[in-house]
Amino acid sequence: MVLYITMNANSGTCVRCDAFALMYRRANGTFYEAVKCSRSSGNLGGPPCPSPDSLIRMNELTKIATQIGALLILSVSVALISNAARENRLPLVMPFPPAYQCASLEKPGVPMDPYKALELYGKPGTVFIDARRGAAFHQGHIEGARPIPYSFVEPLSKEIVEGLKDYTHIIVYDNGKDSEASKLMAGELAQAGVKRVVYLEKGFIGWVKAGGRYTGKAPEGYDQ
Amino acid sequence: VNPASFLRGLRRFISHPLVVSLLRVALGAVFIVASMDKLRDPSAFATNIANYRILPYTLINGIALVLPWLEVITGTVLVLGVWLRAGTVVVLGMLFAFSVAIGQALFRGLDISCGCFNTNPNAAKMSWWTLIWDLIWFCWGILIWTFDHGDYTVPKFLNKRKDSTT
Repeated sequence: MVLYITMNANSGTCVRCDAFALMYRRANGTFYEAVKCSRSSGNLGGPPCPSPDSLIRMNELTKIATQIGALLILSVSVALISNAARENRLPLVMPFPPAYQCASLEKPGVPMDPYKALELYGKPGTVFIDARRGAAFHQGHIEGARPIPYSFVEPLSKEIVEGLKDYTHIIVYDNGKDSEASKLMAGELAQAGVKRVVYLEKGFIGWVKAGGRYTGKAPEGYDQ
Repeated sequence: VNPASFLRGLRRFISHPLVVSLLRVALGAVFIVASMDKLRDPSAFATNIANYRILPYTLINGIALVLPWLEVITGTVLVLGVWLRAGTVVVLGMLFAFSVAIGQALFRGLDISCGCFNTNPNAAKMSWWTLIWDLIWFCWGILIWTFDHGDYTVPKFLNKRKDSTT
């Protein structure tokens, strides 16, 4: 039978560790060297032999860490294989920018026909809000409109909501085919307590076709 | 009722091997059920993750693919009682990450649905109750870590059968 013994650095004596010395060596690489020695081999400069309890704990932690690693590797492997086998597989990197969606879709705003909006245009207390993001507003917009880009997920600030409460008619527009941004923005404003807020049906292009006034370039179609 | 003796009684009840095993199976089942919708539509789940706005977009799809499988595998591990400690650690890690994500979204006032059991982004908006439920699951996981010593698990059952046949 091979007996594993390590040296106690403090006392300089040989301490018997039995099978635990082997386990400890495996768990800690070469730092704690388990050596086969005899009482007469002298002090080899090693640290004190650890207690059996701490060796068991360390062994348990190593086992848990290995199993966690196995669970992660298994999950990643199965996920990649199942995605590869899928007909409409998901690309591993999401196209930029990510498609955000909010939870308020069940309460969209009230629509308004472009011709009805034309009747309100220019009247005191009426404001047009451009909900589009990016450079779209600067390229062309309804004359006199205010740009308040709507980001779906970020809530509208209190200052914006309070500022709009002074108007008697608020018409939100974008230039999407389904007017999704303006529909959601109008819904959010209405829920926040803004009265007489609507969204413009058919968007900016619908307004132009109806003969509404605009600044800059007229849109050629709906925004993608 | 003396609060100290009530707490002692409660601890005795929860630490009973059969009770804590039932808690473990229930938590595992929750994770399996939660993964189903995400496995069916990873694209919608990716949108759910994106809505939280805390991860770089390059990681979103990868996580949307792997997380449901991690949920279903660790859920199964908990139900069966195989690799009990490792499964509990992974579940606790996931619940902690979910709590952080939900907490920051609520703090920022994001108008999003949780995506916990339903990947429809237009599902009910998340609330503080969503976070409270998540923290309850987290405490549930800690109870399992503390008190479940694997008395009612499939490996234990198989070992017993093996012993009785020999």
